[in-house]
Amino acid sequence: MTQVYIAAAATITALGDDLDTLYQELVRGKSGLTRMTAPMLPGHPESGIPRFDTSVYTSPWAGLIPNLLPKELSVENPIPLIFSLADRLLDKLGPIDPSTCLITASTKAGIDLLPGAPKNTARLPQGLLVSSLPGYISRKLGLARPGFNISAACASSTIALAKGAAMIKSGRETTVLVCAMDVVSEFIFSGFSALGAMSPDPAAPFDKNRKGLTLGEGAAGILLMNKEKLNTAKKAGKRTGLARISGWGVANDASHLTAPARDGLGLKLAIKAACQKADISFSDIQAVNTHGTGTRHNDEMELTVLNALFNPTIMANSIKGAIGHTLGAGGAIEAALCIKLLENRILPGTPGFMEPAPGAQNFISPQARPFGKGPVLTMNSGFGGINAALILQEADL
Amino acid sequence: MKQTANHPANQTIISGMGWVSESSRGYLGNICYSKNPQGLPKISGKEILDRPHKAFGRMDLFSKLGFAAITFALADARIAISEPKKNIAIIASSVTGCLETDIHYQATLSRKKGILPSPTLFAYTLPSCFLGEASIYHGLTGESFMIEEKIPNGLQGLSLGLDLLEDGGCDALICGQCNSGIDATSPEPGALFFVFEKQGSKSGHGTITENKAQNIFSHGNKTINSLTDLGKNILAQKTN
Repeated sequence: MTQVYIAAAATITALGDDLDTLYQELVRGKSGLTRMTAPMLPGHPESGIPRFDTSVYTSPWAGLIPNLLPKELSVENPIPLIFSLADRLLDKLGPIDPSTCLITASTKAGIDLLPGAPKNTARLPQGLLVSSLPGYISRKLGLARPGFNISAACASSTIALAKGAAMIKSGRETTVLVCAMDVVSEFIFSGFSALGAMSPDPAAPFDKNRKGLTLGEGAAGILLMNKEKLNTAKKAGKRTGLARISGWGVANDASHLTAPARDGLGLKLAIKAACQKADISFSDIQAVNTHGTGTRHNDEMELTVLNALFNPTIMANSIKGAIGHTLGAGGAIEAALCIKLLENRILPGTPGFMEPAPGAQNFISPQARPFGKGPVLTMNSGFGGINAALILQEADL
Repeated sequence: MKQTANHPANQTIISGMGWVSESSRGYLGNICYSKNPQGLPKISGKEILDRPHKAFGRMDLFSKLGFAAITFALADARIAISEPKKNIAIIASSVTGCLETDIHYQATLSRKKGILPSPTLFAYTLPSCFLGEASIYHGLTGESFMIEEKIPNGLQGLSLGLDLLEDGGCDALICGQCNSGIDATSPEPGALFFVFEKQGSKSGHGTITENKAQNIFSHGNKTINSLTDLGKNILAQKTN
């Protein structure tokens, strides 16, 4: 069977501009969440001052990336923050073969341009439409094809990785680059605030007293290759096998638009499909990166699934109390982290977690913990009832 | 997956097609023509649903378009389901996404500075939400996601969907396009969805074949350059 290897991975989050730093800071229990306090100076996040006034919303907290301003500011041709983030991510990935298939994953991409956009839709700024993001990245990388974006709420990049892996497995592609990213904008912030989903304090996933999520921004780039392509890149000294994606599954709850199914139907189906594809049983999994948003319903649902499928010795965590919920980027950032998990066999703790929610005591810890050799599972869920799961294993090349 | 003698392994049956356009909506044998075909029609839940669904009324236009076309396509395929839930996947492509809804939401945000906006309207600023709505109403637990791309032909989604079907990842596939229309350069507003199945006795609308090496799709002996092409071909065959 064709194996799918991860040949390169990069992340940019509130906890730094590289994957090693993110992992080390998480193991140390550090949080990158900041309070966006007055006075407001729009467009100056580099100083730690907010991009917008949060006083009317239900939380001042977010996981922001420092210095995310575009290099050139222009009123006539405004550049969305997402393009600045993309530029920074691509710098980390190195040269990409022009024949590579590009999949981006973003929920709202350049939506920060909308408040200043002309009312005449015929003059919309470039970068506002999500469909412009893959084209921007493709041009920057000099790829032969424009690529496409996958949008599935907070499971976008998990599904993008699943589809990239499926394209390699089917022989349709030999190399796929997944670039996932989302930024904190007032558009998104106001919406989650209106939904009553945001915590007034930093998110505390799986804690008994959790009050909701904290938004964050971030990006991840993950380069997938088949074995032949990876071996060629290895011989040329360009890439190495970091891990492999051995299983993936995607399923819908068919239950509720903005809340997960109480019984976790869709997530169970996704995990089951991922394990079947990886040819492993639930008991083979050694650690689980959960979606763990910190909302009451999401965490309850995930605990229901963990308790239903896994034995109580399995370790699980959530990193959203450290970098925030990065929406469409979250799945790819967490998949990239799984590479470090497999490499170091230490699962970071769950920031904000103090007193276990019912059912969490066996799985979750505030402390980093060592775990045994074997596959890791990462999973995400989103609006529209969507769920996705990936199984990652050592490259074994 | 089991294949019938009439449908070799590399062919997939097109068992349903549904659409909403400025001039008409429905499916073959049940088409409603617009009296005044300027702009997209207002679609009511009563018109398309066989049982009450409160959520339909609160959906944004983009979601109503996609939801209605999916519902028509399933009716055409004679797939009437809600319970038990079935592993049917939905892949939708769009150039515009739900930009009109985004603009509407942003306007309420600006107008109501200091007052929290509508959470329902916010939910529909995620373009994939109508896939969730269709999954809920029709009981579909297969994977569902949106492809946003500048190329408006919808064939990337079809490739991914046919791979999924071939790999046994779903029992049937709903695949199509939805665009709300923004300006003269954007695709024609409307939605067009198909139901694809690997097996079954349904004659449907023929088969689709993909030559993966050359990335060429064929419907019967005709090459298909877009999902719209496929829809036109099916209509032409039925009316000839």
